Amino acid sequence: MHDPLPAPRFDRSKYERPNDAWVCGRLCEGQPCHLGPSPGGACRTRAECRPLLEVSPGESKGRWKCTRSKEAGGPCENGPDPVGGCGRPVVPCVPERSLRQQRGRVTAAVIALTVGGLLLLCTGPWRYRFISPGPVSVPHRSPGFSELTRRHFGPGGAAAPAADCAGCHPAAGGGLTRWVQAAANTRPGAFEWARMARTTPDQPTRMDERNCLTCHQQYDRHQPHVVQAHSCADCHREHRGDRMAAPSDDSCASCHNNEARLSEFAAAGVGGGDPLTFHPPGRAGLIAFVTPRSTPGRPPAFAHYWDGHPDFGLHRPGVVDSNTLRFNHEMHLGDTVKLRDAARGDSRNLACTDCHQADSTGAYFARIRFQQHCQTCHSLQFDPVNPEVKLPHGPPPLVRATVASLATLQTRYAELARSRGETDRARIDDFARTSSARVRQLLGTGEELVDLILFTGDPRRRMFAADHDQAGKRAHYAGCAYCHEVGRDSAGQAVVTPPKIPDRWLPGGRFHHAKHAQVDCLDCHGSVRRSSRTADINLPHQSGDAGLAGGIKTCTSCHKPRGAPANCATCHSFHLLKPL
Amino acid sequence: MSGRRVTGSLLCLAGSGVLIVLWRHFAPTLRTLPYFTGWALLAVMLFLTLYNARKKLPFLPLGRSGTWLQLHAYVGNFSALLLLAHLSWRPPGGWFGATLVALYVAVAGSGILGLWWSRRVPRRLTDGGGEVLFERIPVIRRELQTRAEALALESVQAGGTMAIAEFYRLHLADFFRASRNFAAHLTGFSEPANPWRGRLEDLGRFLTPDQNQQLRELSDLIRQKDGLDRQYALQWSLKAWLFVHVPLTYSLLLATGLHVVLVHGFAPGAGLP
Repeated sequence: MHDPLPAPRFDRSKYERPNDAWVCGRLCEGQPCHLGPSPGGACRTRAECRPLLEVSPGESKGRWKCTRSKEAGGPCENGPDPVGGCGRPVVPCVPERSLRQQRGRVTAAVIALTVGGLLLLCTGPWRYRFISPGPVSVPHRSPGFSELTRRHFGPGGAAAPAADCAGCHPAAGGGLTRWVQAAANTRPGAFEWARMARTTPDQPTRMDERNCLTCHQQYDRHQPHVVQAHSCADCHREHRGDRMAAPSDDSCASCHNNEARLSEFAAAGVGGGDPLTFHPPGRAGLIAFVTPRSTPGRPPAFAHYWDGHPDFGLHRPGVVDSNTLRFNHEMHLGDTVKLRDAARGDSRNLACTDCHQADSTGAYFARIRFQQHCQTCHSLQFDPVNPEVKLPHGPPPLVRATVASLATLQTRYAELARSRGETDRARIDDFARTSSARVRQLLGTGEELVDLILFTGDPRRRMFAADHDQAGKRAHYAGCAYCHEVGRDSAGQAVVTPPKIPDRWLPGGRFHHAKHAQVDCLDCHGSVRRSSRTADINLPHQSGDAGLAGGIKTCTSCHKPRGAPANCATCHSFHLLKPL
Repeated sequence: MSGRRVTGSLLCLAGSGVLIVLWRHFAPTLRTLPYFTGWALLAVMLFLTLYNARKKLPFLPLGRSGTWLQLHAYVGNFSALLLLAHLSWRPPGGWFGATLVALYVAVAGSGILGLWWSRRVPRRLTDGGGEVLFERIPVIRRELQTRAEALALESVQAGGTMAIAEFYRLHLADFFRASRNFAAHLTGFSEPANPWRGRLEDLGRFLTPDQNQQLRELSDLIRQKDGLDRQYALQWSLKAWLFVHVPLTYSLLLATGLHVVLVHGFAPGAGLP
C-alpha cells in the first residue's frame, strides 16, 4: 500500500468540452490547441495568434500587435510580420473523434449491421427457418402436408418451407410487407388490449377456422353437448418439436373446473342421453363397455386430476356387466381350480395372465378365446370312455349336426379308431357302432341328446362328466348352459346368446397395462378375489378392494405432483374419434 | 447499504412478487398473456433506453441523473424476470428467439458488469488518490513529462553528472511518453511503480546529496505519473463498457421491433386484408 496521491496540479479554470465530437489532434501529445477543431472536424489553428491592427490617433498605417494568450505564453518576442501575419505559424493537426463520438459511431455501425443482418435473414430463402420459433411436428412438415398446403393455401408455387408455413399462417409466402400487413390485420389487434384481455384460450381463432379444420374435418371437437367450439391451438401447441406438446391441464380445466360452463353445456341438451354419442367405441369391431350417462348429464367440476376427479362412471349404483357368459373369478383364482403344469409335473392355481394376455401393443389384453383360454379345462368331452371325442364349440346347429344323427356320431368314433392306429375296417365299424350305441344308451338319442347338451347347466348332474380324467383333472362338462345363456327362439330352436366381453371398459380413457407391469394385477383389480358373478365390475373400486386406495385414487396415489408424471391427456383424448 | 438502495431493492422485490402472482393467476386462462408481458417488457426496455437520452439532455428538468441510474439498475433487474415470464419460464424457441434472448443477455450482462465495475472503480480511484478529469490526462501527462525532462537536464547542468539524465533516457523517457501498465492498473494485481523505486534507490548510493534531492523529485514525478496511468486505465474502463452496452441496446430494440411484427403477423388471429 502507498499513500494516496495528491491530485495533479492543473488549471481548473480551463474549460473542457467533452461533449464535442472532435478533439485536437495534438491532445494525445498533451498539447492541444486552444481553439480546437471545428464542429465538422477540421483543424482551425494556422498560427499561435491572430494579430490585431492597432491604429493610434494620427497614424494612418497602424501597428500589428500579437494577441497570443497568457496561457500560451503571452505576446511573442518577434511579433506579427508587417502584413499582419502571425510570426509563429502552426502546422495543422488531424483532429480526432472524441470518445463520445466514437461510441456514437460504433452504435451507428452496430445498428446498421443489425438492420442489414435482419433484412438479410428475413428476405433470404432461410427466412422461415430463422423466424420459426421451433421445429414443427413431424406430420406438419411431411411431404403430404406440403402437398395439401399447396392445394389449399398455396401462395402461387412458393417453395418449402414458405408453402408449408402458409398452411397455418397466411402471412407466410410473402416478405416483410406481407408480414406487416398481416400484423396490422390481426384480430385482436396489437393495441386492442381490452379485447386481448377478454380473449380466452378456448376461443376459436381465424387459424382454427381457416386452416386447421380444412384438413382435420373428420374430428368432432369434443363431447356433443359442448356447444362452444374450442380452439385447436389452445391444446395443440406447435413449434415444440417432433411431437406436439401434450395439452396442458389448464386447457381442460377451463371447462372442467368451471361449474357454470358445465351446467350451461348440460342444459344445452345436445347429444341426448345416449352414452354411445359421448363415448363411441372407437375402432370398428371393438366391444366397449357402455356406461349409462350420469343423472346431471355432466361431470362434476374439479381442479386437478389428482384432486376431485370423479370416480369411474361404471361404479355408479346399478351399473353392472351385462355380459351373459357366466364366469366366476373367485373360483378360478381359488384353490378349486388347478392347472396342470406339464413341465414341472404338478399343478398350480390359475394366474390372471393365464387368460388375460397382452395384445400386440401391450396396452390392452387380447380377447378371451375359448379354444385358447378355456378349452384346456373345459374340453367339451361327453363320452367318459373315449374322452378324445369332443363337442365342437359353436352355435347350436353345429352341436346338433355333430351328435343328433347316429351316422354322424358313428363317423366321429370311426375317425377316433383310425386315429388310434386301427386299420381293420370291420373292427373300426364295430368300434363306431358299439360306442355310439353306448352313448345313446347313456345320454339319450337324437334331439334328446342335443337338448341335454345345450340346456344342461347344473354341474351336479354330471351326465357329461368325463369322470375327471385322472391325469388332467378335466373339468365337468355340464352342458352349454353351464356357461352360456341358452334359450329358444320363436320356432323353438335353441339359441345361445353371444357373450360380449368388453375389449374396453373405459372407452373414454386410455390405460397402458405394459407400462404398469411392475404393479401386481390384484393391486388394482383386487375385487376379483371375491367376484363370483359376471355382473361384477372388477376395475379399481372406490370400496377399497384393491391394495391401493381404490377407485380413481388407485391411479392418483401414484400419478400426482411429485409422483409419476401424468396429465389429463395421459388418459383422455379430447376428440371424439368417429369410427372409420 | 444506503436507504435509497434498500428502498429500491424492496420495490424491485415487491414488483417481482406482484409479477409472479399476476402471472400465476392469469397464465392458465389468459391465452394472450405473452402479448401483455411482451408489451410490458418492451415498455420497460424503452424506459431503460431513455436513460441514455436523459444523459444527452442535461438541461431539461428530468430529475437527477443518480436517480435515473438507480431506476435504470432496478428496472433492469426487473426486466429479467419479466423476460422469463414472457418466455413462460422456458428456453426460447428457434433461431430468432435465441438471437433475441442472446442480445438481451448481452445487454443485461454488460449492464450488470458495468454497474458492478462502476461501483468498484470509484472506490479504487479514491483510495489511490490523484483524482483528475479524464479529458485532462494527456495534458497533465505532458506536464509531468516536461518536468521530468527538465529535472534530468538540470541534473547535468548543476552536478555535472550524466547519471540521472542517462537513467531518464534509458528507463523513464518511454514511461513518461504515454500511458503505461494499463492491464496492471486495471486489474490492480500489482504495483508497476515499485521496480522504479528500487532502481532509483540503487542509483542514489552513487550520487551526492544534491543529486539525491533531484532523484527524490524524479521519484515523486514517477509516482504521480503512475497514479495518472491508474486514473487513465480505470476511467477508460468506466467509459469503455458502454461501447458494448449502448450499441447492443439499439440492436435489441430493432430485433424486438421485428419480433412484434412477427408475433402479430403470424398469430392465430392474423389475416390478410
